[in-house]
Amino acid sequence: MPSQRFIVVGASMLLGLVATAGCGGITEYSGGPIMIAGTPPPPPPPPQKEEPKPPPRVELRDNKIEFKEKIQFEVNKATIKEESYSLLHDIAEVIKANPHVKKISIEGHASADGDAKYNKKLSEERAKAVMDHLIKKENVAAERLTAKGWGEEKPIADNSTEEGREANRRVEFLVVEAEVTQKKVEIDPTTGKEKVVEEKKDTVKTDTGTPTGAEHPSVPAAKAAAPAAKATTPAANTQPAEKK
Amino acid sequence: MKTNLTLASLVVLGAFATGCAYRSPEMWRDDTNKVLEARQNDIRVCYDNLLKSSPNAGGKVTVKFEVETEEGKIQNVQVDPAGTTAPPELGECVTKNIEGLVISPPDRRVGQATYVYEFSAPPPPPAPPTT
Repeated sequence: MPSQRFIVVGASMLLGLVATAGCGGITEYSGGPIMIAGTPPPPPPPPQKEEPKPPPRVELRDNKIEFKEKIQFEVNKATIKEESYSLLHDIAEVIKANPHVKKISIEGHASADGDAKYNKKLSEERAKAVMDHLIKKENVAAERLTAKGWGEEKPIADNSTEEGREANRRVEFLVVEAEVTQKKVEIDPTTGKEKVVEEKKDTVKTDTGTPTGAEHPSVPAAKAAAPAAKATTPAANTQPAEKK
Repeated sequence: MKTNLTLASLVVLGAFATGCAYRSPEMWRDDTNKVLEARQNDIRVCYDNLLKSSPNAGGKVTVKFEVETEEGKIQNVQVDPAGTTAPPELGECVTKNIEGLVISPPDRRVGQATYVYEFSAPPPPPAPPTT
């Protein structure tokens, strides 16, 4: 019967609709814990041990230009070895960087090896060679330099040992004239800042003695002294050799 | 009559079979886990970055979210402060990373989930001794 069939199908569909209507809604659920394992950062690298700054190769200290190396010369000659040019360059830079130093005495010394007169002459020639190099190659003002040769007169170490003799063979740079600025300062009560009320410049001179000193020939005053220096070493070429 | 009853049964079964398929909570959890797993590395990166500035950071982040029925997209992700002990940065990181993920296929019912993330890290190794 069609009507009965219709009723059955209709009822089934209605039941289906009711069934699907129940599909909506919410499903609650929970999950986890989800484990997240972190990686701790690596420990900071140990602080870099700061390398101690090496002392400057050349420095102006007190009344002299100091350096640990030695100016090297050809054996028995006043010829500066090329390997010492960079040291002389650094010395020149220090001189130029300190304009308050008005005059430097370049003083050559020798060990007690060999003849004293010859050593004095050689040390003087070497001091002059250094002065010439600084003036001609490094453009240091000639009037700021003088050269002296002391020979073996001023040892700084024992001449009976090789180490001592080696230490005695040397060229020194002594400050013999420097400008010193004296400032009188007051503190301004309103601003709290320092105020220079008086400035005085003095020139301090030091005499290092006069063995066979000679200023550079380009300095007029030195020209007169040069012949005297030569006169003290007449037999230089025949004297025993100074090693360095 | 017999034919009618068979037909009716088929209609009802069909209705249940097609229109009313939905996940049980367990199924939801399994499917969600798979999807969330894909972002675990990104969340770990956040954590590692935080550890650089706060070596002791860690704790729990509880998030609540819904999975909508159209595409199965995770949405409305929110940190539950009651179940959260970790720094806020980690909560933000989890939220950012799971929002919009798709759990496929979509379900006829909205999924409403609560998930807990636990962050932990071993203590940082000691610094090498200085020489």
